Amino acid sequence: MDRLPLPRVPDLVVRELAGELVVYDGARHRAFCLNPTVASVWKSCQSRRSPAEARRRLERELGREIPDDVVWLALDQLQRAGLLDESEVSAPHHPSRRQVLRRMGAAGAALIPVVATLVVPPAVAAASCGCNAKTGTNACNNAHCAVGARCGKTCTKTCQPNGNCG
Amino acid sequence: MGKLDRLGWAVGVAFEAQGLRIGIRATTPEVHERIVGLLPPGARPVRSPEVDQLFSLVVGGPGPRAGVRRLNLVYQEAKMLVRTPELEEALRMLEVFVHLYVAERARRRVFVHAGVVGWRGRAILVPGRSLSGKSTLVAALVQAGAAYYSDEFALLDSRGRVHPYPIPLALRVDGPDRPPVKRTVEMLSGTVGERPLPAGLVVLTRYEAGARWRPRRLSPGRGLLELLDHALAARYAPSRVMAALAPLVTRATILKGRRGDAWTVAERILYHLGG
Repeated sequence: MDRLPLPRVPDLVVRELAGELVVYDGARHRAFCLNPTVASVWKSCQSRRSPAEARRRLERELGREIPDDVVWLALDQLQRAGLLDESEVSAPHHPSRRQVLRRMGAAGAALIPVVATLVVPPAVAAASCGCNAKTGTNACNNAHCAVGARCGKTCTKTCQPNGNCG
Repeated sequence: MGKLDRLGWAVGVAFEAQGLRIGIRATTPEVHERIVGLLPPGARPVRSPEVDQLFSLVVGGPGPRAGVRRLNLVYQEAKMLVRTPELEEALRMLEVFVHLYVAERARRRVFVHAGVVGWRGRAILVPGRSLSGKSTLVAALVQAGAAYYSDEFALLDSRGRVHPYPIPLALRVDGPDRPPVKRTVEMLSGTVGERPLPAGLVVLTRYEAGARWRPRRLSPGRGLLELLDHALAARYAPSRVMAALAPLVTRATILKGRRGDAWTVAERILYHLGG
């Protein structure tokens, strides 16, 4: 790979906070928090640098030597998050988090590339709407529910951790 | 919508809140006072019948035959949101959905689903879904001396300051499957905050019986991600929401962890902000 792949641009809102990047994907209603390591690689993707240049940029920003695998792992995470132009990704290898951690040592654990993901719920998920123990019915025509609460039309199901009745 | 419009509408209320014009109509005049009582804080009546959004309450009752009962129905435009045999539940849910609409579409403020109190010139936000124990913790904070700002929504301006939205607290004193009971802040011997405050602390927590309060501190980016989960307009206006949340998460401490007893945690939270 001579040049890093381009980030996927349409429908993205990006905000930088203390070295991290928060990215909102309006097409999929997903939000991502890129830690400083992944954020640096993302910026290198924007300017179409080579993997070696991305590594050198990381070394400058983080103030220590960085193995190439960190760049590949960051790219892998960005690709999994769907934040890269799919047609452009052809990483030569996909190192695991464990392999990278071993090379970085314990002191480098905080620099391991991490992308945290959130599925942004619709506004109606905030409705205090659920089963009425008195009537044994759910009055709301609402797919989202409060995690752990009883849900469903006849209140026989339990609300799953993702906020859907299951 | 045509079918709905042909029903006999006995009463209508039009109001403006957060730059939005909203109408509520009902099929019986007896619910007029109840509808006026469920309007969002700061709502003011408008004369124009033109509204951005129309809610309709079809009041149920005895049916045409013995043993048949007409349900109470709540609509937002043509979409049915609620059907229930209990008028109280229909009114409660009408209130929830009117406030949700305002919270999602507000033109100037960003609404975060969170309880809020003020303490020593700074706001403490407790974001959380329904049944997470948010109201119980807010009540404990108020009883411990914090000023009450909201039980339901944190209203943020473009500088990330938190404004009051002082609706009565909704406490589920009879269990999670029972409707909440409303308590005014005066009933809790508390006071209501009046001026906007910068956020000092965001507490992301959920009640779990027996859990110890050992929160971890989140970075501003992770904090913003967590708050997007509770920002009502996150899907509708992500750019504006992120712009309002950014100064908040940069200045405030963000803690996340399970909690047990609300009283113990309330004291520790206030201590964290110089209590």
